[in-house]
Amino acid sequence: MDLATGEVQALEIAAAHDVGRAINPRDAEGQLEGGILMGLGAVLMEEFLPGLSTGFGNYYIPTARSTPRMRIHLEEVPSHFGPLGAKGLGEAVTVSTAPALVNAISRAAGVRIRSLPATAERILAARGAASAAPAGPGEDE
Amino acid sequence: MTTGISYLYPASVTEAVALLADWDGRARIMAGGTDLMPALQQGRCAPACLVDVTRIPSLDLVEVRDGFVVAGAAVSFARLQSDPFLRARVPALVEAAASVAAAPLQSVATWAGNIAQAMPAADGALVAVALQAEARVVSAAGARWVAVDSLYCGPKTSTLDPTRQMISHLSFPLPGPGWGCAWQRTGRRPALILPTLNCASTVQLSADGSRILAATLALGAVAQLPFRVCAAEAALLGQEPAEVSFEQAALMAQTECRPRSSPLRASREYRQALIPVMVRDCLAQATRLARAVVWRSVSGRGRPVGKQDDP
Repeated sequence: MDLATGEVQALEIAAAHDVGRAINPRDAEGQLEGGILMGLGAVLMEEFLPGLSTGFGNYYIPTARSTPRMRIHLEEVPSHFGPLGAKGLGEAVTVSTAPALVNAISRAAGVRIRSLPATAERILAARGAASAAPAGPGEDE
Repeated sequence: MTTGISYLYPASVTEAVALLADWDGRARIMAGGTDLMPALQQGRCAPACLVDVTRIPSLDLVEVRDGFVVAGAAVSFARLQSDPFLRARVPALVEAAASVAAAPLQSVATWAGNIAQAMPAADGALVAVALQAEARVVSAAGARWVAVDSLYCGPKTSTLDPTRQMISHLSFPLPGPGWGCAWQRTGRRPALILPTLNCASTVQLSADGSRILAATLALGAVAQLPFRVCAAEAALLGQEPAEVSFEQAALMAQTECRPRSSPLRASREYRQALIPVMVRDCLAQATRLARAVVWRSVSGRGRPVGKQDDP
């Protein structure tokens, strides 16, 4: 994070998921990578503004330059419910990526970020408000 | 519709502007086409003829000539980024070229086209203004060199007549000893995004490095044109190239600039807060380059060469 501008770049994300049995491990890794990027987009930039967001020219999703290094671990615990021990995979990755990133950003900023996407502007504003406000009770992460 | 358009490849700049004259307002110059093609598709312009200048010999070259760096109209942003001399001595131009849209567009979009489009925060235009670049404007009546900042008469409005004139070359003074430049940019994501704020600067230090002899500072997305902060430039003259001078210039820039709020990009307040940060960093970076480069003469051409150029 650039503390002067509030800009954030995710450098590396490690993700471990219980995927049941990975029938096609490379495909499963691809699902994880896609889910990570979707979670990253939701946290850092994606925002629907009614009347203004009309396409991908003004609804910002991550591009290659926003993509962090990814370390992926598939934890294979065959499921009793899915075919061949498999589980559905995709949504769960997005769900866990978002709070991990928000926690990382909050730690780096020194103030809890409570509205998403955590744009550079919102981060800088949160830091400004925190330094202006009297010290209150600490917040749990 | 885009059907029925004549597509011509002139062999020279003279022929290109002669074709424009022949078509009498119904032809447009075509280089990368990254702005023109969407305009055609959306029906914002409907030329009967496109005059493609990218096959005109030598128009895709970056050369050092008579104390100037000269780039032809067909020089793409990718070409600027790969030039060893620019990489060593004019990193602001290389970094600005790398900021435009994304790599596939950089490989065809041209620096001259970026300036002709007259977008207020265009990365290529902003760095050209800071480099005090001039454009060679050619029409059937002849050619003349004009300052790039004089090509702007309003947002998205160039003084150029794209149906009768073309930019054949851009040039800026050859970097000499004690000169440095820098580029800063922020946006909502790292690629394919208009800038929240962009900033280019140059500094010329005295021979002993103790004083600033000249400085330029241009900011984008703070006005309806690429904005040169003349008050800050003037305030830097004769100053020591130190943090305190940069800070003073940064605060002046903050006072002079009038950014607007854009719900898709950033609020006015955020842009105002960014200005001093970026200006200070930009000036400090330009000064570091001015001090860092080793100067020597190469094979009688008197061309200054950066460290990275050593064989």
